[in-house]
Amino acid sequence: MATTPDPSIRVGYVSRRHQKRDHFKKIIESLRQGDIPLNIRSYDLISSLKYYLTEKEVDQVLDQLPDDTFNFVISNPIADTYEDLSKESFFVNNHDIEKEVKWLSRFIKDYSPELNLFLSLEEEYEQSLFVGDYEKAAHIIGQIESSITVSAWSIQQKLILAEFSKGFKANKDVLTAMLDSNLPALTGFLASYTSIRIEKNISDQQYTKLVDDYVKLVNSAHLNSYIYFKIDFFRDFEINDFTQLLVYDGTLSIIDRYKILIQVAQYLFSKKKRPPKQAAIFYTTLKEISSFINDDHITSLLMIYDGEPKTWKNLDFITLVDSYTAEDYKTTLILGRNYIQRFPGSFKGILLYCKALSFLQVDHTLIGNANSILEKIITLVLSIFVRKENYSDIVYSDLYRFANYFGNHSLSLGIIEFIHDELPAVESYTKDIDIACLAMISGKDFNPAAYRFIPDNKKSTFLQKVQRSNPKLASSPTINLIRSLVTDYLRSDISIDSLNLRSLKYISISLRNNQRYSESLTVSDYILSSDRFKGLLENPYLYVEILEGKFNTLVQCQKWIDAANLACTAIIKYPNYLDKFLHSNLLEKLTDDLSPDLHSNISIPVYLNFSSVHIDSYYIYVAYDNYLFSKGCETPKDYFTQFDPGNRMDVAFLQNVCKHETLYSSPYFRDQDEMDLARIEICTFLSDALSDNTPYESEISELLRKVLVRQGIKQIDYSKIYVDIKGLTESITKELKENFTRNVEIASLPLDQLNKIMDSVGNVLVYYMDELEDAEQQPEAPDEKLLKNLKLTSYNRFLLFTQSFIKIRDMFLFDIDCGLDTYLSMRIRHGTLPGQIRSIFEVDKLVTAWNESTNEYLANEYWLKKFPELGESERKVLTELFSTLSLSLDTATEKLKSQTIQISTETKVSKGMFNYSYSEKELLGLFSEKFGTIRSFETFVNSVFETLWSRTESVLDEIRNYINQEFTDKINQVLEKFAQDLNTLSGFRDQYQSQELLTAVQNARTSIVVEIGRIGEWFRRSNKKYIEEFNFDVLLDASVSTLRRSFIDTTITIENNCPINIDGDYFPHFTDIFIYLLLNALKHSKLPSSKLKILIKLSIEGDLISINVKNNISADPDHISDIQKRIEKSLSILSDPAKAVQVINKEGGTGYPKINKALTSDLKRKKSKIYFGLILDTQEPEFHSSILFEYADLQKKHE
Amino acid sequence: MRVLIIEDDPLKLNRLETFTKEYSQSLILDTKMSYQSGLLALLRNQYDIVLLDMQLPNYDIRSGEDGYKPRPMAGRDILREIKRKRIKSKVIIMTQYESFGENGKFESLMEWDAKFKAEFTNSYLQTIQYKPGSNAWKDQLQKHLANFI
Repeated sequence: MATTPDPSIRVGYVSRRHQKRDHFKKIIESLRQGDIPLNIRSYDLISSLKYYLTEKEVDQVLDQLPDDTFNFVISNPIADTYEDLSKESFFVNNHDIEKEVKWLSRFIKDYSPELNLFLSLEEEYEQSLFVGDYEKAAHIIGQIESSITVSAWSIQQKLILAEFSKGFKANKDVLTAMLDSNLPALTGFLASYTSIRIEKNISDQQYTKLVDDYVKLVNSAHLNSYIYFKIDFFRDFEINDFTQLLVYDGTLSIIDRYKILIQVAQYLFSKKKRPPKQAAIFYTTLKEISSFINDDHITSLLMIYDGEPKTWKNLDFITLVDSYTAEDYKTTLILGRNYIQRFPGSFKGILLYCKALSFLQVDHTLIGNANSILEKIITLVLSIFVRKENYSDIVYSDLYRFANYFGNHSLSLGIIEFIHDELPAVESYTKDIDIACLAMISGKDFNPAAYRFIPDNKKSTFLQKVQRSNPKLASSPTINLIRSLVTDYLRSDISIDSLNLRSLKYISISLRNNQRYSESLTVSDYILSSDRFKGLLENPYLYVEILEGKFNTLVQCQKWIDAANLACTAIIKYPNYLDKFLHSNLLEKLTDDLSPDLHSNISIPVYLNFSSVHIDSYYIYVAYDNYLFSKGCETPKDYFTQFDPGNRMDVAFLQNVCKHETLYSSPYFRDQDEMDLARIEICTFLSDALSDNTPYESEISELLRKVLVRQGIKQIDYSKIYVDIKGLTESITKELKENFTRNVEIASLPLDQLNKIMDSVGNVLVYYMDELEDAEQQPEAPDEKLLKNLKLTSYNRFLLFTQSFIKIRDMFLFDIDCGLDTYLSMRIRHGTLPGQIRSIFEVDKLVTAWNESTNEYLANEYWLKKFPELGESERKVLTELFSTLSLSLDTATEKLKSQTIQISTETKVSKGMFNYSYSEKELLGLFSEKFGTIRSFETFVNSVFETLWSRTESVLDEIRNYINQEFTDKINQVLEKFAQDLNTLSGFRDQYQSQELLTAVQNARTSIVVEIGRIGEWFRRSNKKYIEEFNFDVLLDASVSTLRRSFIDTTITIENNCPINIDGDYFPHFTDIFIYLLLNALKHSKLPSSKLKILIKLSIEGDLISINVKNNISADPDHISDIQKRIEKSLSILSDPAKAVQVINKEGGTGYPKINKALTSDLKRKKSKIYFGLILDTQEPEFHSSILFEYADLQKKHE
Repeated sequence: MRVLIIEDDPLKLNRLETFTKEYSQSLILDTKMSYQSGLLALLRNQYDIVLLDMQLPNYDIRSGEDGYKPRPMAGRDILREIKRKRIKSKVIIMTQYESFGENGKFESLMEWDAKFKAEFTNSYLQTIQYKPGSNAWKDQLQKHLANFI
């Protein structure tokens, strides 16, 4: 709460401030007079020297300082050990840039001989480093350190050398040794992050994240720009106060001080909004420094600032550029090679050399070591210029990494500028500066293109002066060309026909930059159509360069459709050059303006599709839909009649745009099957229409496979309610036919005879409805029919019927091989149902696994980690809530499985909803109305099945209703309670992640309702056969897809060497087998899904199919022991049919008895074997299953 | 008045349906459960009001099918199509979420409301948060329905 300060305290505060100020004034006065006050504070001393005393006064004071104090004040510009660098870490900053620059330049002057030596050694060092002569490079570093000084720069170079010469371990060994040597904080920071930045295996994103984490840790906004400038230069940041950089690095060695001065000057001069005062300060200082430091970096800086020609140490670069301008590529090649041998860090030199190679179509021969930085960069650049079939734009990322290794260095800046030019659609890395300018002035060569950055009032005369100042440059074709561009060349009388391609290209660019678009287009078109350049333009890179120029002009003058047309034509012809034609202005226009007029041109959807990486797919769909609409079509198929096979745009439209990524937004396909079939139609149509149909065959084949897999999944879902009627019929016939025959014979006896025979059961008679013997005997009235058909028979006959009926019912339900309960167990209760429900909640990690050893649910670490700021007791409550959620869901599912989806009869009473009880009254009714009259055993059995299926239908109706209503409500209540409990948990809603958790719960609520609806549909009997024939690829895909949510991040590898096609009738049985094997791996491995690896191999061994499944398991000895016991138990069951029978329709085991049942009973394999066991002598313990069976009669019979 | 409800959650759909029918016996009500079937209905028929869920599967989820892929911003996608095709229906978003978005970026209902009002001035009416146990959504919905009857 704000309070009014106590006036007396305020007076005291002001009074203390005045005292401090007065005291400081006295210190300055004293120092000015050459007297150093006793016990002067270090801060005051340095502050005075830097900001308040004149140079002379500073000299006077420094002369008087004792050695210790002197070294402290100047902070060891020459350091013998790493420990001495920024030793006192005393940073005094008054934010006065002029003073800081002056302070630094004093040392630069004092140590200019050392710096000049350093600059020449640095050049040698870089030559060795980039060509891979690491030994020599290391030697030079050693020389610099011993004869001049150790520095933060030399530390960084040593790390770079270690990484590039010997790799990651060497890098870290060097870093460790340095950190062990008591590196001061600033140097330690620079060393550590350099060591990370140059790791070959770190991605840019990982590095950026590390830097972000460090910035958060430091938590000081004014340090951010220093951090980014020094260790993450190519991110988007802005600097306005450069004093921080000068102050911090001003405490390092003289080498570091010099480098920061130059780097800051370069940055400042390249700012898009160059601050004039600061720039002037640097200019003045650099001009002074240039009189005693021999460095062409300074030359570049001075030239950019004052626009006056300078003297350069060498002009080899301009000679090289001249040969390129003159299109003398052979000379360019030779000069380029020589140039980069001497200056391997010159990216512009590398570019020119590589361009010459590509235009001449000759191979590059090594300049440095094969693995050197130079060679790697040359390889990457060449792969951009000569784009072979395996070209991928990842090459730009690889190139960018080199830039990142070296940070603020001319090589890196050249790379960044190049990437920026190559990928115009990618946003600029640094918006604060003109990267082209910075790349230019960070080099040490005279590049005539520097005129672009000269002050405007000096531009027109600059190049003229340059040529006058140096006779060598007077005849430079490059300078002459640029001068002519600047002076509006095309107004002169020189004919366009006399100019070479390169000149014309630059003229076209110049015209465009001057907004003379139609003239620029005229020049471009001239280049493209002239016979003179036909040969040259066979080089794809050069051809694309010219097209790109024309494209950029069309965009700039807002001829959108022409630009899109040209881009599409170029990309279709040279797909590897796609990135050259992605222009953000064009994309913006085409996505902002959705008008049908614009989109009625086919190039628009084709172009937007090519740009798909950079835009929302919605815009591609809109362009597609608008285009089809303009042609009076709703779907691609409607367009077939208008298709022109000779029009590459038409082909591109159907081939590239009309794909799933676009079609799925169309309302005219009702489901995925229709969408797949639409795409198959397109591929088939194109395949027929075009001569080259190879691209389409594999796509069609893959889509058909996917359609088949979905059919397979449907088949799996619709096969849940199953009874093997065929198998049952065989058993029933054996057991009951005799009885039935006897029953029928009894029926034919006269009643009085029946009575006599049936004494033992009394004289009870039973009515039944018989069929009319004579079809023509139509009753006159309903009652008449009843009377005419009513027959009497003995009660015993009814009893015999009842026995047979119940027998068949029991077999229908409980036969181990064929009955409903077995299939309910195999296809619903064993793993599938619980897994299906649980997997919904596992998507967002809302549930955890049960820990058998602690008898509780595992803590939900995934979500708990997201709430680090919750109090201890709240965390406990949250843990408990998650456990309760898991428990409630598992309990509800378990109840559904073990109680609801169970069979109940009058003898096997349970809460199961598969109620097949028949009372005597019901049986009597059945007998009377239906069964009494049946004389044929087959008809009898079929009628029983019909009755049972009819009962099944009504039972399934009830189960579906139960699942969709009560069970869904139950789950909903559990989730609602969980959400409510979360909302009432103290402190929960204040947490940032609370919304994420609540959203996850809401998602789960919707998903589970939908999923339960799907599960409800399992309880629907379908006779439909979705799969006529299948191979194991389809089978495995369908099986894995069914369980995919439970295996979200599991690695499943399939090696299928079994090209057999199997009759679709067997599809459900094979899926049973694979689903058990997969569920076994998931459940019994005791590994989280992300760590589980499953390998499935199929092969043919003679007349047998071999299925091998292997997966890793937890190495916990208790778990391994438990698995061994389960294996023994399963083997024991398998070897004893009596035991197997008892477990077939039970859940909780390994599933091998069920697999055996599927093989022997469902698939009727006479020859089959199952092996399973642990493999413990591998790195990780594994579980292995092997199944062998004969396959001959499983294949579909084709007539 | 003709109303279209596009909602994939069967329970929520049932409650919206019941409420709407109870509100006025005279209105004609259609229901759809996915982006595709909802959009097709809008293109083929004329509706006065559309009650639209934000997150929908792309296609109707039938047995053996999974709707192809979920569309986290299906409601916005349909609003875009309404605008593009100049469909005259008025739209109310009915969502159970307090925030929604895609690609890891989520915004609150209020933020989306402001965006939709700005982008879909002719069709968008309001976003109503549907909470199963509460009647607040009914009161809000009622106000809009009243304008059409």
